[in-house]
Amino acid sequence: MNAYTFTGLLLSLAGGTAIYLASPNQRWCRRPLPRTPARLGGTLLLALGCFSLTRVLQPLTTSFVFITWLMLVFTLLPYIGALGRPGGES
Amino acid sequence: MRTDFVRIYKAVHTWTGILTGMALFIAFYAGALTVFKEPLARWIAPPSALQQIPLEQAPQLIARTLAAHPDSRRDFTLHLRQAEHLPAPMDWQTRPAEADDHDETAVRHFVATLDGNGEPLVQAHQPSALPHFIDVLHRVVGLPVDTDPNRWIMGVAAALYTLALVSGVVVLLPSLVKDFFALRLGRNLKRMWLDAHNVVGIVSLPFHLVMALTAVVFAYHDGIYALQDKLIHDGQWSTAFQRQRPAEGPQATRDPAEMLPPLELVAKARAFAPGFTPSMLQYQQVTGPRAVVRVWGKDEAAVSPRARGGFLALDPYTGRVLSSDFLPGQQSTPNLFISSFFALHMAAFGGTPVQWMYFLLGLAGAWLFYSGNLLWVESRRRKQARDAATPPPQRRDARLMAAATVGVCLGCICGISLALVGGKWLYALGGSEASALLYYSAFFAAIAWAFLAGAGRAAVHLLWLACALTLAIPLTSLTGALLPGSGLWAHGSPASLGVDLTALAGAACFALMARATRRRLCQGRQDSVWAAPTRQPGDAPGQGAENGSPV
Repeated sequence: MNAYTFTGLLLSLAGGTAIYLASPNQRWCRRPLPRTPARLGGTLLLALGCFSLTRVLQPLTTSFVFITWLMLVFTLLPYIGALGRPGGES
Repeated sequence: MRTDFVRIYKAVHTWTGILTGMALFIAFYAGALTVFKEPLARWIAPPSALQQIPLEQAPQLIARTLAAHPDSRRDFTLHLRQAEHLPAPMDWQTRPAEADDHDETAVRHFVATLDGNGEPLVQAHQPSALPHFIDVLHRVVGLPVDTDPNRWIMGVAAALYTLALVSGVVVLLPSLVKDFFALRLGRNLKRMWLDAHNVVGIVSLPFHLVMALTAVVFAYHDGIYALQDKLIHDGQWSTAFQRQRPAEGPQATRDPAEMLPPLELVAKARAFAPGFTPSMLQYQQVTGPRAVVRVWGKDEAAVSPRARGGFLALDPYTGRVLSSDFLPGQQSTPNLFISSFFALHMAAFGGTPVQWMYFLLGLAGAWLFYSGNLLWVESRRRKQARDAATPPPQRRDARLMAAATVGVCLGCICGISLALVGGKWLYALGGSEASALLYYSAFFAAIAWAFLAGAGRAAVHLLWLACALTLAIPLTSLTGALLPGSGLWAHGSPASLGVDLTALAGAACFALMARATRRRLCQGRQDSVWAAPTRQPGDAPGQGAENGSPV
């Protein structure tokens, strides 16, 4: 994997995680992160991640990769939280 | 929004989901595996005894093979790389004129290389049907062959799936913001399954909309094109794509020995598109007046029009560019618009990282349909009253739906794993591959067992079976590596090892799920179709089936 692609995906993962942790429904921490700073920081990381992807991918490909990655990240984060803190019978 | 509107949309969502959920589970599970169709083909391909040749010798191979086998002149391929599923550098196929375009069973494959004396060595070759079979399961929702009627069934399923997505979003709108990211575990099982279903459905909604809409188009594109031709182009559109009739009189035949060497054609393609990585040359009609060579390859930075990439069309005799309409990164806006739909369905952009994303989103999609059915079942659970001594009998429809869900979904998983493992073992034992037979044997046996034993017990058994069959994939490779005399084999390429490691991870997941399901069976609430059957005094053997077992 190209270094820019790797960096872009990593920054987007960090940004997505920050946004998730600012949600009142997050299950990773006892309390959500402060909403405004975490969301701003998350958005900034997402923007940086997207910018890193544009260094090696064409704009249309960047948008497809970025959105696909965000969908996956936002799908997995709640499940990872639930697996880490099981709270009931399945 | 008015509650009666929401109620209508909820009913639409429920029934479209229930009607298509299990078929779509198969489509998504097989589709997730189809993302890695080539690694699967490499994993299952037996070692080739044919020798590879340097590309400098390719002109000799082409000229001599075409002279000796005129049937190869219409369309043949020269591979620029070596891989387990490509036993020789050159190959072609023949197909009876009356065979359906999608019928792969009618195709005969041939491969060619040069022997030690520089003479062409041609062999009939039977590539593994398994990767294509898994792809067919994906394309026609678990039906055995890719035919027009089966694709129409898939189209109906995809249309209902689109309806289910739209209605599901409408139902969720009132609580969308409040419940975003929510996955609440606890004693309210209906809430838990609803959250588990909604998290995947809402967050990956764009992915699912693209899949649903493109699947409808793929199912009916022949009819759509025919209608378009008739209504808009007065029937002239299809004739425009037909080959020109040759002029009267004798036709000049071109000599393939005069074609430019493949190395030169590749260099021209690279010069035309620097980011493009060629992987094979597809020659068509090389002895005719409209000879063309398609330089196929990929450009990870761009959107590719097909799953295997795109191509630059050149004149094989002059190297002149004939068309770049299908070249990744160099397409016109209208072509790129169309290609984007193919690329978004088939993960044909961004390279291997995106393939992994699609693999996981595909599995998440399969989980979406499975959890939807679980939610339906849980919504119809008859709860035990506080003062009741025994749990009430569960509804018959809920028991049947739970058994069908477990049987179909886990049967699909077991069937694919068995077909993978069995294909390799049968080849090693000298038999034929029998992918469909193995798959459907496991599939229908799983369904039968789910109805016979009840959803709760069968889920445990079938999950352990899925674990064992999936674990057998890397164990088969290990046996091939340790005991080459067994007739089995193991490839060391990253693609092939990736299949083994992914199967190992999958087996571990199935084991964890089996343990959790077992725990639920033994320790969970008794007023559920997932509880172990309770036997009442006086029941005959096999009658203890009030909760879990419908028989």
